[in-house]
Amino acid sequence: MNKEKFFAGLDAGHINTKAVIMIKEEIIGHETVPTGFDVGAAAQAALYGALQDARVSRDKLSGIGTTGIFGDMVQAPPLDVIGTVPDYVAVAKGALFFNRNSRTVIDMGGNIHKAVRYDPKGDLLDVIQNDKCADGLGIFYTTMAKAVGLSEAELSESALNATGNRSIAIQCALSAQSDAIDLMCQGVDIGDVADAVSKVIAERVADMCTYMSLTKEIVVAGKLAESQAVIKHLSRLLKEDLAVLDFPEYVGAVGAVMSCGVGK
Amino acid sequence: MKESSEAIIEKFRRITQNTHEYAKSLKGKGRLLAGYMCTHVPEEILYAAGIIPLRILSAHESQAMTRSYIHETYCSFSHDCAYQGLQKNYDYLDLLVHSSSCIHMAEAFNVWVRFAGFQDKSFLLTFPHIIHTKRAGGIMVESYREFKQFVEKFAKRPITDDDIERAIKVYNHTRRLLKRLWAFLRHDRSPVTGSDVAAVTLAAQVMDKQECNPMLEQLIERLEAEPGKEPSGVRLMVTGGACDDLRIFDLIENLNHSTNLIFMDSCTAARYFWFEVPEDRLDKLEAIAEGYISRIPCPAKDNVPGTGEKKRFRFIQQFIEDYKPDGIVFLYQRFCSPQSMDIVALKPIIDMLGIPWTELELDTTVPVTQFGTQLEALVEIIKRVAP
Repeated sequence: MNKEKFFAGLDAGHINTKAVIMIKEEIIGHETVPTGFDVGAAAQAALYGALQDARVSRDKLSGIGTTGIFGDMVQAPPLDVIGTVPDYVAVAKGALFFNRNSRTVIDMGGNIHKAVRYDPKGDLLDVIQNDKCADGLGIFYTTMAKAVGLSEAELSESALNATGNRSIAIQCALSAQSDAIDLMCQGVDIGDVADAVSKVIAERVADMCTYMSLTKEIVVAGKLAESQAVIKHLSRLLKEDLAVLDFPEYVGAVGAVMSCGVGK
Repeated sequence: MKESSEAIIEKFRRITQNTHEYAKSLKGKGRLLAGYMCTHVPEEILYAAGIIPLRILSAHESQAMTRSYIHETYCSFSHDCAYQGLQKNYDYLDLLVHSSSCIHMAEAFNVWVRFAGFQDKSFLLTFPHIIHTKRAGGIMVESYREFKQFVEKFAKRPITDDDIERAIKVYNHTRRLLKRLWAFLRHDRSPVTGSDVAAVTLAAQVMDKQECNPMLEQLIERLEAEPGKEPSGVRLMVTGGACDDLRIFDLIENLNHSTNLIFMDSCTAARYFWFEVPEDRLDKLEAIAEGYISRIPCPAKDNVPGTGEKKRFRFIQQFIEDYKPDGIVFLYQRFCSPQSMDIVALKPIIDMLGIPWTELELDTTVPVTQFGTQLEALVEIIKRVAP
């Protein structure tokens, strides 16, 4: 019966591969694994984890939609991929799935950030992606959390409690990391360091967004969207209200299911 | 009661920290203010028309906004200056002036003109790309003539030769006073530190010279009467590009070893004033051109056609002879190609003189610990190799 069909979405990103299991418009399982060098193995692992989470056996899957920078590389058997879409298409469809009123999504991933504008059907109107110097903001955030001995959630929390206003270099993630570590060496409060890290990310994303008009409602996806500190600075810089989507890390994977037309 | 030298220096420092407040106080007195983005701008012409020129300085604030306006790999100084315009921090200026010097600052100027509301109150002076040619002087005189006409129209008053001569003399007086101040650094037990001298020099670039000169005179008078400070530590000379971040100079003099900053060759320091405009010449604009050609050249303009000689290197060698540094710090803006290319050619000369050096690349922010470690390593090396 059609209503019992299960579909999987795989978003094979630079850093992480995300999988979701959906039945109609409900997400019933999800999993994230590091992409690593063996993209196929990561896809299998993510899919397996998501199926476990959904308590669904593999043979119940009616099809898999893929996306992400490695989206094409995970098509080989034994995965039964029924469609692959570019990540900007997937993120638009995914964002619309989570918020029917949204018209722009800012997606902040591990290596790439982009903004996508779309119509009420989720079809693309405009896309802007970061320049090379702004690559790796998500990796930077993760690295800095490790460097200060906090989880990513704690880093955000700490930034929200900052009392100072510190700046770090903005040319690239490496310069920023170097400066952030220098602040640590100077004995600067951890909250101020965390705030400077969050601010740099928001600055670079906001800078990219100036190249494209952002249509309301504006929503945010990607793992970095989980950082309230980044969102606070981004909203301030863009002078816009931003809504963080549910499951922000899985928006692409959900969009892959939606764009293949199998989620309905 | 006479003010102490420390109190006068503190006044200068406060001006560098609150340039907008200072400028607005001039504005409050009814003065016209012109911001300039490069020291190739002949301030004398503005001053002759009763306009106070003040240098646009950066705020050392990390931001990404200007990445959408000017090239990513332009120096952070140009990005920061462009940002000041976009943030409307200099909205009180009546005029913005720039000379076609380096492309990075030219883009910062363009940002102000196109996006920060200065379209109808700005002027770009033509400046020869290579100044060591016979034609350069003629081009500059012609450019100054156009500029003078523009300023006359803007200020709604003619600029006479007497006006220009008076301005030349006021500015030359500032230059002589600054040279006298810097001369303290030549000696052991200088009564003033290099970082204080850097602060005073920077303040002079944003001040009304009628106010700056008496303050400089007082400061020099006090310093001449004071005993010197502690015996000199390791003497460090800075050579490089624009640096209006005084924290770096404070850092150089506050290492774990005793150090003295004894010279700063940059357009925000010595290159700003280390020249004079000939006085009492018949052709005032020609005199100004002659003066500006005789400056320590900016690396972006310093190339003798045919030989590739860098005239700035002669100055540096002279400064080394006069100020006797134990070590050199190459301090330049990241992505400033003329400056970093100069250093490639300059290092062998410094090596031949047997002077240890280190390189610090400036960004919007100053990585205090990293730079401190690098500078301390230089001092360690100097202590080992110094006779």
